[in-house]
Parts: sequence; structure tokens; C-alpha cells
Amino acid sequence: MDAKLRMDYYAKKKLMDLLEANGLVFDEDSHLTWIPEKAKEVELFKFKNIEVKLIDAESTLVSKAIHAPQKNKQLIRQAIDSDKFPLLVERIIENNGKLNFFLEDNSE
Amino acid sequence: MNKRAFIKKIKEIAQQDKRRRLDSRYLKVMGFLVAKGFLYTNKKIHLNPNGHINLTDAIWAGRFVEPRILEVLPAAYGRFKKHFSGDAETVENLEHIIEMIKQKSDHKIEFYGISIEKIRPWFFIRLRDRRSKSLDERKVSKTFRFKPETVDILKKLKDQTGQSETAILEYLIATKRVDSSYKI
Repeated sequence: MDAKLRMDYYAKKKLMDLLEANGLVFDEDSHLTWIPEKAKEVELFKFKNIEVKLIDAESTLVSKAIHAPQKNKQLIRQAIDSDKFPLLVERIIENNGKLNFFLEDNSE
Repeated sequence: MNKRAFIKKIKEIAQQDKRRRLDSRYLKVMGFLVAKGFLYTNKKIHLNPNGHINLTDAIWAGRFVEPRILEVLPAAYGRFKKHFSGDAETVENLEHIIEMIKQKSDHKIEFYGISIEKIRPWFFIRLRDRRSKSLDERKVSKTFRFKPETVDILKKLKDQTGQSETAILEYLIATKRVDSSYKI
């Protein structure tokens, strides 16, 4: 799980235990996650002491296309092919992403 | 290439990606990794927890269909060796990664472009079957020759506490009842 955490030690420890119990791993490099401009926050939970927000799917894809293209090559192609993210290509270009990378020879 | 031409080309390659997601090599590997709890997918997939995986097929699936397979493959191999087979070079490569992780080495090694920092956590996650031990939970077999009275004490402690003899010894060592200054 990638997440920018703002919480005290005990809350983080509890979160890590919950993730482990559910077979999930927190990526300790999450603080390096880049959130592109125009990203929209979507509220997932709002409790008395806890707020959890998601970044909209298109912005998440832009972030992946710019900072982890190798790991997400097929995902980005699939997203473009789906026509569900009409501004995805433009936003990759705006953020100096290498579009040609996603066209690179994929033959075996 | 203009934007329209780029999207057209991407759509062509995406069709190839789609065909590859139906390839039996990919489905078999994903079925195994999802069943064991290394990966998650929102697609309906036939789970394959007892399958036998060819490492060449797994690497193909990681390179051409789902790169996350490469991230978890060393840990899956390390924790379920009996389920895998492959050529000597790949096995040696994976054994080397496992050894580096056991030794907590900070050598910069990679597996098909994936850094050891990204590979390491998968050796320690709790898996779905709850039976396979992570690298830090695995027990190592050791043989000791004790004095008979020590064995008697150990047996008494076992009866009193209901703990195993191994658990009692581990507790004594962990609580440093015997520290490094101990001398015979």
C-alpha cells in the first residue's frame, strides 16, 4: 500500500498490524510518492480522529506513468485503451512523461 | 507522432497485452501467487495453490504481462521451493538473492530491474495459508548435548509452564538471563 501518513507512532504501529493481518505491505518509500497537479482528493473515511483520503484514479495513473513507468507500462496502456481517462495522455505530456516509452518494442 | 497516432498505436499494443493476459503461462503463475497471497487481482482468476510453476514461464509473465510478478517471485520461490523448477542460472540467481536477504546485505542487486529493497518485504509478509513461515519466523535446527540434570530441569519447567523446551530456552536467551559476560 502506498500512502502518505500523518499519524503518531502508535497509530502507525496499529495500521501496520492491520495491514499485515490482511496480507498487505506498506511501501516505506510512500513519502516519495508524487501527487500531480490537478489531483482531486476523494474522501474515503471521516471518523472522529481519523481521515482517509484517496487520490482520483486518473491522477494516480499520471503519477505512475511519470515515476514508475517500467512497472506500470501495461497498466498505462490498458488505461489509455479503456477510454475512461480522457485527459491521461495530455497530463502525461504536461508533466514531461516519455510517451514513447509506452510504445517501446514489446516483442519477446 | 501526434496524439491521435500515439493513442492508435497504444491501442494496438494494448490488444497484444490483452491476449497475453489470457496466456496459460500468465494465468498459472497468477493463480499461484494470488492463491498464496503474494498478489491481489480484481479480475476473476482460477486459483492454483498447489500448482507447479516453471520459472521461465513466471519470468515471461513478469516481463510481458504483469511486472509485479517479478517483485514477488524471489520470495515466492524462497518460501515455496517445491512448487518451482527452472534452469540452473535462474535458480542460482534466486538463491543468491535469498542469501543476500538472509544476511541483511546492502549490496545493490536487482532481479530483472527490480531492486532488492522492493523484493525484501515479500519474504516477511504473512501469507494467506498461515502455514508457510516467513524468513524471520523460520526455525533453524541445532543439536546440543546437555548434562542429565539440565535435561531434568528443562522437563520440570516444561511441565510447570506448559511451554515447549525450545520455547523455554528461547525465552531464557531472549530475556538475557545469560549474557555475553557469562563464562564457564
